[in-house]
Amino acid sequence: MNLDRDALSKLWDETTPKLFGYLVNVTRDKSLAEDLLQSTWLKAIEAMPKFKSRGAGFPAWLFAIARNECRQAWRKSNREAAFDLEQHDKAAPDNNSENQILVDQLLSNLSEDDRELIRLRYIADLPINDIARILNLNFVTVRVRLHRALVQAKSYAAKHS
Amino acid sequence: MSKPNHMPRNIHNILTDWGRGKRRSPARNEILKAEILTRVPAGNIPTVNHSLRRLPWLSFAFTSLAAIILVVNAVSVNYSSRTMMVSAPTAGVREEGSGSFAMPNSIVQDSRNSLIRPWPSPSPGGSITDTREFLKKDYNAQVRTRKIDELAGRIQTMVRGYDGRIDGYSASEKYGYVSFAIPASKLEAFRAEIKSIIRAKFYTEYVSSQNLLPQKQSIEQEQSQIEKTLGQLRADRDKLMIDHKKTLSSLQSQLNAANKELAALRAEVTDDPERRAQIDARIAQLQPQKITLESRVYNENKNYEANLVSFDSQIASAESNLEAVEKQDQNLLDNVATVQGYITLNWISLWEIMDLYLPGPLLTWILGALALTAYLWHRHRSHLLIP
Repeated sequence: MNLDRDALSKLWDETTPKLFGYLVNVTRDKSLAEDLLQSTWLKAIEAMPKFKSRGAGFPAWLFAIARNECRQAWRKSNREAAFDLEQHDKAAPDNNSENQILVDQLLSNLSEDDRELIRLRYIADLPINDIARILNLNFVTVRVRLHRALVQAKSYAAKHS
Repeated sequence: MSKPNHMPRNIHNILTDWGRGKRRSPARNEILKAEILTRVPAGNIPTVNHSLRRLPWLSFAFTSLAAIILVVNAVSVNYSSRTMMVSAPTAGVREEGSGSFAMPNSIVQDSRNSLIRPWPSPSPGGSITDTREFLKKDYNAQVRTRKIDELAGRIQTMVRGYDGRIDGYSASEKYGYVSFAIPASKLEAFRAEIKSIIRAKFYTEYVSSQNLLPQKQSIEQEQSQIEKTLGQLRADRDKLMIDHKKTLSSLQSQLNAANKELAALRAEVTDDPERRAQIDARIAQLQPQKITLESRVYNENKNYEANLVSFDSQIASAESNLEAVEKQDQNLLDNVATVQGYITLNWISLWEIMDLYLPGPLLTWILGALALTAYLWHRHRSHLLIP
């Protein structure tokens, strides 16, 4: 399969909202997220001829690159920001629905690993197999951990509803 | 996209809505997009088809092979055991070696999975009324070891320690052999010690015993017969002596009477011609009688001597036979009290040791390990390469 500009444009339109949403949720910084989005795509285009599926789709690969870019950005800025509800997603003032607030609260009770799972599953909308590839984990492990995270979230939601 | 069915719908819906709400395009979406598209080189970007899921086919292949070998092995084991069931009656013991004590060379071949016929062949038993047991035991064992010379030396020391005797010994790099004899009373202790120095998986023994009652009964019958004959001969000899004495005494008394009468007749002096004629006639009558009697005495003595010699000879022969039978009896008892045995030592490779310890065929385990390796390799290769 060859990828031309039109196809890439379509791919951008399909993937970028998820990828950007994911990056904003991770970095909690829209401008940084934009930079990371750009660098992710650039690296992807450069490395596209070398891309090997190995069981995961292109979006999964893109998210793997994005995760790596985030890590490098954190390393450069020498910070590992803790989850702070006050600051979290401050660049998204429109996310003030009841559900959004509830989810933000219940996510704060999860570990960073579990939050990453939730992001990849529900923001990036990736299948479990692709998440497993991105996180270098077993399919079953991902499934179990996601299940536990959801159970934990559910119990929190039930307690605070 | 499928969701886990077992989770409550509401939390999924909430998170799905949340995730959807988080998706957004950047403010400079069109600028960024244009910038990215300008970086795309003229022409097409070759990509790899990513729709195909890569499966660990190599791992599947190894696993399948292992399963096939396992099944084939199980089937062949069942078949061979069924074949053995329809064969001639056997001792029901596993053979290590040929089971033949007379041919130690044949034990070298490994025939662990075959059954042997009892050896020595059981002889037809006698009446059940005789329940004595004269068990002759034979012992052989096959030991697999990596130190043949050292173990052969230890076995010899053990045999001598149990008042045994070494009958043969050989040891080479791959094969060793010790044949010996030990007292039957010490066999169990000997076996226990052998087992204590060799792991059970490397040691297979074969102990056979046969009741030598038929031989014992035969010896006893022969002994009884000889004793009976001997008694009869002695009685006949005694009777001969008594009869001879009686006969001789009778003849002697007749002879004495004849001699006495003859002497009296010859001593008588008479002028009476009639009396003289009577005396002469009587002397003429007694003279042949005396000769006959003397002849009978001579013959009696001669016959007696001959018969006595014959009896003595027969008695001596019977006594000799009795002694031989008694010796045979003692030999049998000694034989029962002695255990003939041999132990063969075969070198074992590490593969064979693994085969002994692992349940099922070794090849299955190797293929299993290969399948695992292939799977791990596949997993390693499955990691996404991030530029």
